[in-house]
Amino acid sequence: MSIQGNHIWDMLVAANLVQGSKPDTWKLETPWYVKTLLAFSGWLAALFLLGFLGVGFAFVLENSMAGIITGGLMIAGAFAVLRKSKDQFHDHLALALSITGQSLIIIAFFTLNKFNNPLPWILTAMLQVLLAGIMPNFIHRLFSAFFGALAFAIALGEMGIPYVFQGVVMFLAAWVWLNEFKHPQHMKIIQPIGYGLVLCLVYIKGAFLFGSGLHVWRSTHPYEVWTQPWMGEVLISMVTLYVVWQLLQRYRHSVSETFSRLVLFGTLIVCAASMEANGITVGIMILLLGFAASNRMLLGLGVTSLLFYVSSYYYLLEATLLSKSMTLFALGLIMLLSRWLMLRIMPRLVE
Amino acid sequence: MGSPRSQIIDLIENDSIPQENIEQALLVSEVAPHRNTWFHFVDQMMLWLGTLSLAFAVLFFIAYNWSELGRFVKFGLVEALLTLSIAAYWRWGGDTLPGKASLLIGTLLLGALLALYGQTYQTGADTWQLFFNWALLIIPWVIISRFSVIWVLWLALINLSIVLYFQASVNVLWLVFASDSSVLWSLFTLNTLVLVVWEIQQQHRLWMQNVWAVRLIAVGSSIPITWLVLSAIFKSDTMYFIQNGSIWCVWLGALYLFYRTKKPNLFMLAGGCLSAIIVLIVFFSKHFLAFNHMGGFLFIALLTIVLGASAAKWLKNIHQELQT
Repeated sequence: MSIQGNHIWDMLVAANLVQGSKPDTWKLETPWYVKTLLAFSGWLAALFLLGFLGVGFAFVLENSMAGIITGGLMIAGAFAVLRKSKDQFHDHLALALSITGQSLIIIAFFTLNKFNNPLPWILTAMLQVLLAGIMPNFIHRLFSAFFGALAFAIALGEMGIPYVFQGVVMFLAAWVWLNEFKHPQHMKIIQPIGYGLVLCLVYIKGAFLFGSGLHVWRSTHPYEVWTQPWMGEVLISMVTLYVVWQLLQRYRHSVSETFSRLVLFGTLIVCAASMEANGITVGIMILLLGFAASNRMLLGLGVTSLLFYVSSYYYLLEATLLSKSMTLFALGLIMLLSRWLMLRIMPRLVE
Repeated sequence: MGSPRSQIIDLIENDSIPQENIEQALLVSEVAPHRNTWFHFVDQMMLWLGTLSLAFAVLFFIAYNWSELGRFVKFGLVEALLTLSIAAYWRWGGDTLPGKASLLIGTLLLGALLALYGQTYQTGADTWQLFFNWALLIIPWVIISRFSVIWVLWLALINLSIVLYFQASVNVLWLVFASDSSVLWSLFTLNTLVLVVWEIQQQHRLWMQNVWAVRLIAVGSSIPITWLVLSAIFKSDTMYFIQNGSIWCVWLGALYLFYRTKKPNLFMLAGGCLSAIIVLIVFFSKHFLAFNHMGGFLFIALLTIVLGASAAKWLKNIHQELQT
């Protein structure tokens, strides 16, 4: 990350990867706080639009079909505006329209669901997947990816297979970021979806660690649980191994090499050691994905999530402070021992 | 000029790099790190994670056994750590990052020591006194640190002391700001004064030129004054509204004049825009929704969109102007 930007084109030319003079690609990046202002205004406008519909067209909220049709029309209108939008005003208007339309449709899903099953959540997830793919706006795609993954996770919980949704969302996030540059024509879709999935993963894990899980979103209808917490942790470890394997392949290291086997074995040890200290593996994976593509946003998310998870581990009620202390102590020792071994063995293997 | 990653993304999006060369381009530009860089990263990650795990393990262990420990052991533990952190500051020196970090840990540990003292001896002091005394005692360290983080921590302690102080029924500051909003006026006055002094002083002191510190102080100034105007809108007291509204307008005007003309700062202007949007929306909501719900909601929604988009467009123009 230390190369000056204006040398990049020269280096690419020297490596025969590009030809000709540097194209003028400079564009002004909108600062994050201006984007935050936009998002805040969009949300506020959507709330008032919903209020307008609620007061003026009460039948839209009372009649599910009218709600779905009106919501669909609003989303279609938002899509049309976003496709032609060249300025912030139209982006903003479309965002507010779309959020309001989605709210109407989702309310209709839940109103129509008389059998207390996960169908509304599945339909919500499908709607968000569709919108994440087609809506030509970064914030919208991020929002849709976040809520789509969350709805999917809640649906799995309603179906009696909780605990595994973290692993599934983690796998989706990992796959998206590992293939970020493999489909350049879809990069504008992939990146916001990637951020949405990672944010959802951090939220789900955080909600789980604070003891609420996703109970606040679920119905009170009792259901049989088919999975156990350890299954979720095993899945998370498998996804981490997958990420490491993919990164090894990227640098032309096959699994049969001693180096690769040692790296995968070391990853497995760290994953096993951190199974009790929930969230550490997720944080490490986000760090790896961020570093693999010099993505400072992901690196920052990874560091923040690690600090957050370790702090929230203190409040986890399922274990005593003594056992948590021993878990962290063992984890710390294993990390430092692995590092020591890595410094002794790896330099020779890499050479 | 953006980071190498954003540069490469721009080139890829403009089809300047053939698809078959993208992977190699990422390596050449070091967006995809080299093996040695990976090695160094994993080394540092394992070191920090391992060390922090051990540190947290010790903390959790102490927390588990806390009630069993005698008071001298508790005091000894905290004082030993405090002494170690100050010794580390002396060893590394005040100009190095480890030295500053050690002093920061020392200031935090002093707070822990005061809390322990209050808990052990049940002095009956108010909570605000803990934070105020903590802020008082660390003043020498804050001054010698020349470290924005410690200064912001100190300001946060003073702010917290003020908030807790106003939970007492009668106090000195009530005489100055004789109203229900005394705490907000106190916070606004303090943080605005600090902001002014910081902006003046940072021209001469490199260590004060931290973007995030000034932003935090500005947020500490803007939240109370915005809240005061909002409370005035909801109160049916015209004089109170005129008083608070006038001061808010003066504050907003001063913010605009300084950060638009004298020392352009997009974040401050964005903060001012946000404050204005919130105040206007709440003002119109209160008056329009009272007599026409349906039309009121639609009007407010459109007003929000127009205000937000206009602010974003204005800020973007200023941003372009500042970049050229």
